[in-house]
Amino acid sequence: MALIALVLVIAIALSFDFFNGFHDAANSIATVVSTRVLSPRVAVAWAAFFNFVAFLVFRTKVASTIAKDVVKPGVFTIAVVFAGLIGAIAWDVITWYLGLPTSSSHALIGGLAGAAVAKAGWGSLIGTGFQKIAVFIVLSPIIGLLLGFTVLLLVMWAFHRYHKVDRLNRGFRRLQLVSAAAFSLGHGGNDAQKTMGVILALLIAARHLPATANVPLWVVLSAHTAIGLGTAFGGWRIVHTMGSRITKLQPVSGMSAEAAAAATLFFTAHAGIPVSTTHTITGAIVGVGSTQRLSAVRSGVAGRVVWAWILTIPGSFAVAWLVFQPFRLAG
Amino acid sequence: MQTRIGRGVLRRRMGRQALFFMATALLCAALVPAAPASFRWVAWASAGLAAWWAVLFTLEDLLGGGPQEPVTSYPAPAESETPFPPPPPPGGPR
Repeated sequence: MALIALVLVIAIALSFDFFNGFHDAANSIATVVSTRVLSPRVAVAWAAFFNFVAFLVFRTKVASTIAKDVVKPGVFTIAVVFAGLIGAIAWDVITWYLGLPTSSSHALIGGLAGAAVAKAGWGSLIGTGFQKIAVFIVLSPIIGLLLGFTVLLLVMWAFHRYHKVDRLNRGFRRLQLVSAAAFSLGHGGNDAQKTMGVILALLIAARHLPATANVPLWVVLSAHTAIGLGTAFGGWRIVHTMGSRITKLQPVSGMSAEAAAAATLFFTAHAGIPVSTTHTITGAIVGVGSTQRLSAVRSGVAGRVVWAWILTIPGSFAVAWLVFQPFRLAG
Repeated sequence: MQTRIGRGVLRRRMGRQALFFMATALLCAALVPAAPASFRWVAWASAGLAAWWAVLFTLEDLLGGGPQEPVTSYPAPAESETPFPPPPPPGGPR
């Protein structure tokens, strides 16, 4: 019975990872499709491939943070992780239905925290872990913004005397293949590790692994497969509806935004800090846009990011807390 | 800062870009005490980079390249064409 419950919750965790890749697929392919560097089909395959192979590039520090630095390890049980995942998924569905901004990454953290508090009170949370995550909720899009702005300005300054615009654009189109790949690596490396962390916490809670264990290889591969498939299916769906809704983007702008976001994600993955990849690329695109004029910065986009900061963790926390109540009453 | 032009006065002020980056620098600086000790350098570096751009834009505005608020009416300067159109908002359609 316990094994069935464990397998079921692992399946739910991998489904969360799949849907994370699914709805983030547009972030991975929007810029490279809008600049016509890749056809939509190839862009989807490109992003999904690099989401998957990210496990070869990054270690599992983000996963360790999720499993061991958010909630005290002894608090995790199958029921707590289940309630946390349901809290995160339910919050994502609620916000999607109501059209509210959200972040899947923050929803997962809020969900795990809510379920843990429902089981063992506020003392079950690790303050230093939350401190790190809370600060980088704000910092990661700002870093993306500053780097995007700086990279594009440096590129414009370096090439301002170069008059062969077509040749320049061809060069940046090739570079955008690299930057798009790097962004997908960062996306896969950051987001897949959150699911890995959840599964690691589950396996430790179910005593299949010791408390000091690292992430097993099968967990790494299954999480990256799930997010890669999610990106592939989500990107494919979006390809048919994106069409002319994307404003035509110059390759140098897309490359700068992706490079900035990728650099931010690489750093946070290396440092073991879970961040929102959506907010990071949002910040980078805003930074690139603000090189022209500040009116290019869409206040609606910035407002949605700020509301996501405010609403996501409390919202998923509350839902997970409620979901855990039947388990608490059942003892 | 004011400059006499003919019988009018042209007032120079910090532009929106300078104010935006100054606000960003202040926000990053405010995060320094909240950040874990090992990551405070990230908040400082972000604040420093934002402050750098705020200073550069402020200098550009005050030394004549930026927005100006005429006290007497002068023809508005033509908006220069930019080679790079703004990027689309992130995220796809639901």
